[in-house]
Amino acid sequence: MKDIHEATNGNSDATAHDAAVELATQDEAAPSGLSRRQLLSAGAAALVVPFVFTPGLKGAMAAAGSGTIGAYIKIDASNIVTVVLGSSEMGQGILTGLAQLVAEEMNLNWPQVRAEHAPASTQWPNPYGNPLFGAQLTGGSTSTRGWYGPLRLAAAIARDTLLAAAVKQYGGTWTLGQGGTLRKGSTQVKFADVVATASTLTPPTTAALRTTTRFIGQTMPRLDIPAKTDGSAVFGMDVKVPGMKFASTIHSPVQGGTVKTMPATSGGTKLYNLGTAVGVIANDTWSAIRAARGAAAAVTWNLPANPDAADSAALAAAALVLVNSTTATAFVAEAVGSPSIGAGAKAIDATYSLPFMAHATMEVMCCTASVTPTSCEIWVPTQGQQFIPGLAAAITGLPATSVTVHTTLMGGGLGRKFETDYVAESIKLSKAAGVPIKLIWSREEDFKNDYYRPSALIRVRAAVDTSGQITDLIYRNVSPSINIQRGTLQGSNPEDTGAVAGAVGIPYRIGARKIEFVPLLPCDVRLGYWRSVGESYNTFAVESAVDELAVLAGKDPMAFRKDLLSGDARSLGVVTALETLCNWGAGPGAGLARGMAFLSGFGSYIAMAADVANVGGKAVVKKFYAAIDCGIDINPGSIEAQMQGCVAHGISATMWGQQTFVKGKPQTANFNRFKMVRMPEMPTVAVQIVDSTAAPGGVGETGVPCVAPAIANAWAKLTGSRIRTLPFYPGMGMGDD
Amino acid sequence: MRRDGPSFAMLVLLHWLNPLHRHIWGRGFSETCRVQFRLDRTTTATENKMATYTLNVNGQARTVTVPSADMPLLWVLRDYLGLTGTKYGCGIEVCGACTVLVNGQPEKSCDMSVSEASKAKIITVEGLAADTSGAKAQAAWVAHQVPQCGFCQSGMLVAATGAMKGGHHGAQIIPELNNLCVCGTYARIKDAAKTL
Repeated sequence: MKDIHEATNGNSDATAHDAAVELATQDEAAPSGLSRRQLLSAGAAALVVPFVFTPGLKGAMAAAGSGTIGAYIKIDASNIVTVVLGSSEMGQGILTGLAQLVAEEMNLNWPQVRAEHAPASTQWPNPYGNPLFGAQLTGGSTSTRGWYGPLRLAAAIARDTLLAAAVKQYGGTWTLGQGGTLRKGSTQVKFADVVATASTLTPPTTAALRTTTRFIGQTMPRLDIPAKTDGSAVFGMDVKVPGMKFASTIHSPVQGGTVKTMPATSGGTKLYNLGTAVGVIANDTWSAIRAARGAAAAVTWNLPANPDAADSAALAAAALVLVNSTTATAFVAEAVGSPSIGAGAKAIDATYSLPFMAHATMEVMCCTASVTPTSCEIWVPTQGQQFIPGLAAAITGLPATSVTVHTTLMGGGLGRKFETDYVAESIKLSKAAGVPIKLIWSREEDFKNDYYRPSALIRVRAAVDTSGQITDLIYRNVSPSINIQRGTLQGSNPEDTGAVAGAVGIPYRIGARKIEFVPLLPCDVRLGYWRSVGESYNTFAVESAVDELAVLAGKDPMAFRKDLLSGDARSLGVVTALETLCNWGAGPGAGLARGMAFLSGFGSYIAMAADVANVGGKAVVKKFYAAIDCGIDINPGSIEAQMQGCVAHGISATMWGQQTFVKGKPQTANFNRFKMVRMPEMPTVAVQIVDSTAAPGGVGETGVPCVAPAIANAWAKLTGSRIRTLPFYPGMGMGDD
Repeated sequence: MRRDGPSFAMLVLLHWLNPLHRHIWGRGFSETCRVQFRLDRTTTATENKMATYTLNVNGQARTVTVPSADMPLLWVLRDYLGLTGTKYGCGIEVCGACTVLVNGQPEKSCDMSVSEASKAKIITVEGLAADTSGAKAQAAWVAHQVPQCGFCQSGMLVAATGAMKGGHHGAQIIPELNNLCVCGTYARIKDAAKTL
């Protein structure tokens, strides 16, 4: 039988690891995160007693509805509980939010909680795959949505297994204490004391969830923040591997080019032909970037036959034909009734245009790989672990099970780091050179070799009746299709749901509607997923059009939306919350106009308003408001931060953001030609989280789509001039001001 | 970025005269620049040859052998000294992710040569904790839960520390912070800065 010891007093078991006891004591007494971080590096390596759930959590998955659950919770000798997570941290705070769920179910104390990225799994079902869709990917604002139920249940099962272990180990009746403890009367042991026994037990298939709210709904300090203030956080760019060399690559100046001819060396440096890139290896990144640039003139490229397929002006002209065509093949994504706009109808016919968009993550594409004859180890900032073992296996010829993937912190993901182009390059270089390679792209290569958010040309025809009801809506989105370009379009899903996301299923009361998608083909601009995906362009069109209809109907935009959303409680809830939050009735004050927008998307509901001024003929956003119903909120502080970030990201895209192409050549190569919000342009953001008991919804993208229409609607009200083409002010950069 | 002393026109002129060495401003700048100019001519002769420098980084003397006198301090810190807290963002002095303190002033290390840096006291984000202002800024960043992805925050914290060392306090620090944060943490940066 163990001694009695206090939760805050470490482990008094004389046989326990003394170092661990000391670390645990320091940690629990520590007021800041600093010692926790030191602890993590000091204590984890030698003292972890892994408590790994591999089998037996089918109950958890039964609740989630798919797959199996794997190893999520480790408890070490100093009673540190580490949550191992398949979702990637890119700034959204997911490691903290998901760890809060485990802390709640296990009644932990926050200083003993850690979170780390899971390895990329080669199992299928993937134990670290998001339960919503099975794959180990982070995107679509799905991490909290996917893991909320399953991870709570897994933690509850872990807790009950530890209790069962205490019964087996000591006998008697045990209950859960706080801070990773178990109690029998006045006797207390730590999880660490019974973890070895627990790991021999078959866990129950289900367990009761706790009803406490010590962590869920609380703004817990983020686990990753202290390391992000002292330079110790390891991003992809910061990986250090013994014997590693540094590399950089250049790519075709024209979209879609492949290497045609290249010399063996350039300036005495060996060149590596990577198919779609040419690589250089050096003793430091600067030398690698310089040598790669220096080699560019000597490389020739096989180019796509049709340069207009990656030309912004040619694509825009083609889109304009299709958006007005009566003969183009249009996929009907949604149809209710038979909308028609009669000749005398009170109607709008408006066409909205959005550009190709670069991601411009703060951290450029980078990856470290170490390929040996028997192994491949990769350190990478990635949202797409699911793809990497197979990719590495295909390049190296090794079995996927010989591939180890370490996920680093990401210096922003924004959808760009789903992709594996940069991962493949580093693997190829390491394989060819026989040494570990840290590949870092130059910023110029990053801007010019993105997977760009598709451009979109959207025509909205809609009519209102004399009572202000929308009777008919005919909506057509013409845009290049990510799915068609990748060959992943499903026969059963020809409308390309990504392209119409934000346009289908909108909860406004509308008499008859037809939502069409016309793919813009051919398009050789490389396409990808950009924060808030289809909603990022469709919501601009929908919410601008709703405002235009309100004006046409002679209605206040807020009252108009409230009426049309009156049948949908959560939609109406956020709009009403916004009305109160911004004091809509009182207005924004002298010299300002206020515009609003609404979105049901990513499993959440949001309404936003922008207060906009006219400064020298240009729109300046002074204040933003966001009312969000994202179901049960895990960490309100993180939600607020995401709303602030969504506003910044949305303003950048509304005002300045785009990538343009001339005969396949991207025109923007660095931030001096790509303006984004900095301190002077950042408005204050007032956030209200609407109380909800619904299942958690997505947050990371939810706040982006409404930003552009809210600003455009405010500007139209302020000036009488409706801007339907983004960005408002193309050609702006940073560094010139 | 805050520049003490010379006017913008002077900066442009000096930049034109000597593009590699636009960082050594501050008190006595004209004498400094004249001296620098002579030194530069000497070091330019060593361009693209292996060169050894002793840098004063975070209070320590660090000797490095690098491939060129022109090599930017950013990459010397990251790839030769292992100080990866200083980030590469744009390489053209726009985003500020690479900001370090040079003789107490925030400067962008992506465009400062190692030869120039070897004549100054350098403080990186890893050295902020040992600096009174830097430690305060770090604590405020944690208290206000500023970072999201965190990639730009090294530069932000160094810039804030530099502003404090330059005599700015509280809200006065905010206009000194013109670095880019794609995550949009500006509101919390303002909240944190106001407490400094």
